[in-house]
Amino acid sequence: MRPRTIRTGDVRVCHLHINPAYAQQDLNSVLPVARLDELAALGEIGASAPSHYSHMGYTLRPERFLRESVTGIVRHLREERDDVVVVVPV
Amino acid sequence: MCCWSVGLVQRDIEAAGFSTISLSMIPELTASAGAPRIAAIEHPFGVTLGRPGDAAGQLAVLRTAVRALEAMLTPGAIAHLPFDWTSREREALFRSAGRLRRLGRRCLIVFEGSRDLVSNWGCERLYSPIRHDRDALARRTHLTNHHNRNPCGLNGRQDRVRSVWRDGDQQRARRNQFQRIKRERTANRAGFGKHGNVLANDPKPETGGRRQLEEPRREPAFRRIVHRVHDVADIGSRESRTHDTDAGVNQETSGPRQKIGINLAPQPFRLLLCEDRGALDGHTACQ
Repeated sequence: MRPRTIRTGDVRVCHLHINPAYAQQDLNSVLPVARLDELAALGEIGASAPSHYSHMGYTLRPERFLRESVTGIVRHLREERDDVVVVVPV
Repeated sequence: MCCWSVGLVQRDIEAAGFSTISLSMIPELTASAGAPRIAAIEHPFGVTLGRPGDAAGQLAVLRTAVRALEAMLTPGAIAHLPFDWTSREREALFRSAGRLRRLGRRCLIVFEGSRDLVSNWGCERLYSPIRHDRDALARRTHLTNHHNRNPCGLNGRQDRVRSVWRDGDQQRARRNQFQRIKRERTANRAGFGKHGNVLANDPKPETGGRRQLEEPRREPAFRRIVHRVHDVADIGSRESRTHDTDAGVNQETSGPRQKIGINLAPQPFRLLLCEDRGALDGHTACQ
């Protein structure tokens, strides 16, 4: 879980199948937190959610992931009264 | 997360009562996980929203994805975003990959374009550049040819030794099976109009389709969010779950909203605002 204030350089991006250098250079290439704030400033959305979420892919046996992690994400979304979720693969 | 995990996560979040949309570089793979709405984009892996530093491009992709969410009416719809990876950007990616290759063993090589990112872990060398065969995805040979190992149909050496079709009964039946799936999926696609307006040529859903839900058209975009959750467990049926945040309504329904007493009268919009409503659709402009 990442706060809305996260910016490039606050996190380290690692991946074995793709090039993580671009996300390392500009986090908004994959996690557009700054772009969400800009859309909110333009009045096109109400506000960016207080928290954002990231998890690794290539989950060949996703049962436990869906049962525990996604359930936790949904709980946080409800607590923060979010409306719309944009899911971005890397 | 990968394009398949995106669909899994999105499906569960949508079922929990949120409106969701996923970007995807392989929309067919994301759709196979049961994603309710997909915004297909022709960007390479690792730069889904756009090039590093290209704030305007990233903003345009995100804005179009949010608007596409409002435009989609049928579960499983795929909207192809009007963004392409230009030759200039491809060249920049090529140069960047060249620098990466000099850095160490575990790095990436970029051969041609968007889907040609291949791991060079262990210094394994491919014998020829991988061909960017987008037609292979359209023909779905990656599904029908068992000699392919990669779901994208980009397999390096294996691409060169693809087996020849023997048109036996089993092969013909299998090919016809996937061709049938292709026709059904393309019928649900929400395309962009001549001027890039996602609402202008919003396709009228076919009656009696496998994924068809009999519901009235959603309220105009960005005036008020009315969650219409596609029930993923029963995505082919006519039942759906309606969750109205503003009215506090959350109930199961199997018919038009007017019949079950849900008030669709316009109310002040709380979270999502759109000043530039005229750019969305002149016919469904917000009041």
